[in-house]
Amino acid sequence: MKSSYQYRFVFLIALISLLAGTVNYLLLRPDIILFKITGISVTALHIKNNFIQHFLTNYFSDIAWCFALCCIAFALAELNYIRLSGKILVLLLPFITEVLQYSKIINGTFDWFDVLIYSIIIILFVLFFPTLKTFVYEKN
Amino acid sequence: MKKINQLLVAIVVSMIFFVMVLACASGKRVVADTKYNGIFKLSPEKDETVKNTSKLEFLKNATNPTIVLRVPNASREVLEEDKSVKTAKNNDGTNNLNDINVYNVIEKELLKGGFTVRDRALFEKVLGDKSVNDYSRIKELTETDLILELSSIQFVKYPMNSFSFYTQSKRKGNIENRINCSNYFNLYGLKLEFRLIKVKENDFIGSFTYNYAPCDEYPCNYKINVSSENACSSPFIEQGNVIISETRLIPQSDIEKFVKTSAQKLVKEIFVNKQ
Repeated sequence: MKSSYQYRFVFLIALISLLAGTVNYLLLRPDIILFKITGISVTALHIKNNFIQHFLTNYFSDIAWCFALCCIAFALAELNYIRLSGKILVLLLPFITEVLQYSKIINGTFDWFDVLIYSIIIILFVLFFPTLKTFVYEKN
Repeated sequence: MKKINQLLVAIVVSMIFFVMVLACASGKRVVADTKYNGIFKLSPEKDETVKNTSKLEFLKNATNPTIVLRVPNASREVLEEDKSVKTAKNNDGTNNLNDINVYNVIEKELLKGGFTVRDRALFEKVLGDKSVNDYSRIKELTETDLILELSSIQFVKYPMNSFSFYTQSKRKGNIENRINCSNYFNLYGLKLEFRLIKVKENDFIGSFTYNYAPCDEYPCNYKINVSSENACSSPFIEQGNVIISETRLIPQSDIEKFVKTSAQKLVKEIFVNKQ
């Protein structure tokens, strides 16, 4: 089993990314279920710039979530915890959630931009971290 | 077995992240409001004058007819929602009906118009005397020909559900666009009502109503937020961190000007027979 500071660092980055997404939700969309359940009630922040407000409210946390997922997938693949089927399952999760949102099975809004952003993040990860490239890993 | 364990790890990770998705769900996707520099145009309601001209005939011969401005308590009535308007002078230069000495402005115009204006306070004192129970006695005591009663000065709503805004095009220059809102929002104007009473005969001889709408002569430039569902906010002006909206959009100077112009029109209407 591989274990080094490098992977701990990746896990840490994933955690920070998730934390950033949560804080972003807390500041801009405190109406989400997580805060309702935990009883956290704050007034949503309003940013004067419409573009920034729109981006942070609707996309930033999704990006952070997908980034964290890819980090975890990368680290687990490097540590040999997951293989082909596992990697496919983890990396398909963002698209599965969008499909479930589209078909109204779970709460949330389907958005083509989300799909695009997830695709970009996953492609970048696969390009930069070959361990995520299933066939390369399998050959090794 | 090892393969199953590896899949299990992937499933656990996926489940954790899936729960995150569920926890972060809310109702609708929030689309930030779009702020427009809206152009607003309004037409005020028409002024209304009803008078008994024959009862005003005596003014032809009178050199300086006497008049008193009567100010009933109700004259300062404002709309229910306007009661929240601070009575202290607003530091941001915006209006407050109570800040304006409406009565002085009207009395000044009456004086300019050739009336002898009786002291309002003294008149109220005479009226408060229980022994004075008819208008002819009032005439005797105060030597007043006419009572001008300021019935009301109040904000009136002008509901709107659309506005214009300009976009720039390289080819066509400024293009006027129009947004139709899914709701109504209000711009506020003013209404001033007078009643004229001839003291000697105890007759109500005229009613004068004047209207003011803020964006009549020149279109107003206000900001307005529009949601993705085309729901429009109240138009507003930003002065630093201060947001000015609703009745406060009418500058104090405009209210004073409106009262002054109305008083001038009133004097003209009363003296129309004199020429």
